[in-house]
Amino acid sequence: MKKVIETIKVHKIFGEGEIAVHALNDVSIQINEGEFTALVGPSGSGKTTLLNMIGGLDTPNSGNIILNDQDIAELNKSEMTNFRQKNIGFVFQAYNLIPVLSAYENAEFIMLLQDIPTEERKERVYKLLKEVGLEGKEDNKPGELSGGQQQRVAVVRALAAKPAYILADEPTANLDSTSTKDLLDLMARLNQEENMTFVFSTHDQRVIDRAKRVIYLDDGKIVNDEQR
Amino acid sequence: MRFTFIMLAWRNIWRNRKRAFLTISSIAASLFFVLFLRQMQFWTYDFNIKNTVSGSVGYLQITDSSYVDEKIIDNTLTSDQIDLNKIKEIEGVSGVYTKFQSGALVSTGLKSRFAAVNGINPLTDNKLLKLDRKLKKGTLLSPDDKAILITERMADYYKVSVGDTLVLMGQGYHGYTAAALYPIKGLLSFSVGDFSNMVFMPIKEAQYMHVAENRFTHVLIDLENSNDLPEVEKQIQKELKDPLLKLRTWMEVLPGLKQGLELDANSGLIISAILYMIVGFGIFGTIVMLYNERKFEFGVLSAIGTGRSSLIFITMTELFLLSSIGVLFGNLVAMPFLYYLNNNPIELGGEAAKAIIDQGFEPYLGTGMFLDVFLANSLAVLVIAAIASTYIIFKLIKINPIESMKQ
Repeated sequence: MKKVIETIKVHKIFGEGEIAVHALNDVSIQINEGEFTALVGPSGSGKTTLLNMIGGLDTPNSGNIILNDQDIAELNKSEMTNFRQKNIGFVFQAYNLIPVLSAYENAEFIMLLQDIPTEERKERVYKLLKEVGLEGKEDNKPGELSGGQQQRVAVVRALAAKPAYILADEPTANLDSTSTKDLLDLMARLNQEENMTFVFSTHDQRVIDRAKRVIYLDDGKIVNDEQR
Repeated sequence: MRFTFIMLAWRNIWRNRKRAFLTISSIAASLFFVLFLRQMQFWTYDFNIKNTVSGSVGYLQITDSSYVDEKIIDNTLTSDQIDLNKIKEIEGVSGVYTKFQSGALVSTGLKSRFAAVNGINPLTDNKLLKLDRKLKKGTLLSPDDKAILITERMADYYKVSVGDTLVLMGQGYHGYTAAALYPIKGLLSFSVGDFSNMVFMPIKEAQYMHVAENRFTHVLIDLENSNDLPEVEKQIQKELKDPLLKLRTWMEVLPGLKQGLELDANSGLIISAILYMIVGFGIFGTIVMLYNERKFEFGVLSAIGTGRSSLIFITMTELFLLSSIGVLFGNLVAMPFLYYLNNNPIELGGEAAKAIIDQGFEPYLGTGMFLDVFLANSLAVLVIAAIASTYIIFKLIKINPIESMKQ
C-alpha cells in the first residue's frame, strides 16, 4: 500500500530556554493510503501540532516529513501552499466555509484554484453534494445551513479536488449526535468505497470508536498505536 | 477563476453593510467637498481670466517687440505688418481686435491724475468688455464720437459727471504733444481695482489725439476655448513673418495675475490634501478592521491552498470596488450642484464681495464642470485607497495560516 504520510523523528519545540515546550518529541509515524486514523490525546499532547505538520502548515525543528512522496522541507512557502491545494483536504472544527459563497461555490472553491474546467467542476460538485445528502441545497449560503450540513459541505470542499488524504481537526466538536453520526457514516463510506485516507485529531469517543487505527499521544510522544 | 474572485470581492463588500455604507459615505462626502472646492476655484480662475483677459489683454497678444519693454507710442504697430485675416481664420480663434492703449494726465480745475487711455472699437468692445453692463450713467460710445467714458471712481475724484469736460494730456507719436478736451459721455463701474482709473474713447479718436493714425499698440486675440491656447499660439507664430513682431500669451503679459491664481490654487491644494487625508484615514480604518475581522478566514483560505497572490487579488478588488462606489457617488452627488452653479453663478454682495474684489477677482460664486477636475480628483481618491491598501498587502504577504487561525 502506498505511504501517503510519513514523519521521521520529528521534533517540534515552542519557545526557548527554560520556557521551551517540546510539543513533539521524536515522532515517527507512517499512514498508508486508505487508512481511517484518529490522533487522540489530552490537551497539550501534541495532536494538533502533529496535524499541522502533516498538513504542511508548520515545519519541524528537526526530523523529516514526507507527504505523498514529497519531503516538505524542500518546498518554499508558495510551493507549500500549492502542495496543500493539490494534495491535502482540510475539514475544520468550525467548518470555516466562506460565508458569502453558496454551498456549491464553497465546494468548488479549491477546484477553481486548480483551474479545473467548469463542466468538470459542476459535475463533480453536484455529484458529491448529492452523495452527502445536500441535493437542493446548492444555492444556500452557510448561514442558511445547519452545523451538520455545513460540515458536509466542508467535507465536499475537501474531497472535490481529489486530494491524497483528508485531515480533519475535531470535525465533530460542534455537531449534535445525529449530525456526528451522519458525518462519520459519510466519511466511513468514502473511506471504504473510494479508498480515501482520513486522519482525525479528536477527543470524541464516537470518532475514536469508528477509527480503524488510533494513535495515542501524550507529552509530544506516541504512547500507543492501535490497529483495529 | 478571476470572475469568481471578483464576485467574491463584491459579495465581501456587503458582509458588513454598516461599515461599507460608512466607508462609501466618507469617500463620497470628501470627494464631494474636494470637487466643489476645486471646481469653484477653477471656475473662478476661468471666469476672472476671461473677464480680465478677453477684450482687453487677449489670450494672445501681438505687439512690436520693442513695445514689450517700452510701452510708448513710438513702438506701435501698423496694419501692414500683420495679415489679420489669416489669424482670424485659425481654428479656435474667436476674435482678433486691434487696440490702442496709452496713458495721459487727466485734469479739470486744480485736480489732475494719470489714467490709462483705452482706444476701443465701440462696435465690438461695448459687448466684449461688458461696458453695457458696467455703464452706470450716460450712454455708450459710438465709433465716430469725440467723447470719453470714465469710471465712477474718477468721476468722484474730479467731482464731474456726464456732460462735463476733462483735459487729457500725453505724448503722441514721434514726440508730438497729445492733448485734447473731451466731454464725458458715460460713467462706468468696475469692481476690479486695475480698471478703476481708466478712460475709454473710440480707437479712431485715440489714434488722432496721439497723432498716430492707422497705428495700434497691440493686436488682441481671443479664443473660443482657453484650452486651445498652446495650439493657437503655435499656429499664429507660423503666420507672423515680421521678425520684429512679438507674440505673447496672457500669462506673459499679466504675470501678476498668473502668480495670484497659482498662489490661490496652491491654497486650494492644501485644503484638498487635508480632505484627502480624511479619505485616506477612513479607508485605512476600514482596511485594518477588514483584516482583523477576516484574519481567521484568511488563515483558512491560505491553509486550504489559496495562494497569497489570490488573497491579495480578492482583497484589493474588494477595496477597489468599495472605493470606486464612493467615487461614483461623490461625483453623482456633486454633479447637479456643480451644474446648477455653473449655469447660475451667484453675484456676491457685502463684505464677502469686498474681500473678493480686494484680491483682484470679480465677486461671483460659480462652479466649473471641468472634466479633468472630475477625473484627477477621482483618480486621486483611488490612488489614496491603493496606498492605504498596502497595509493589507503587507499583512497577506506575511500570512501564517496557523497564527491567523488562532482564536
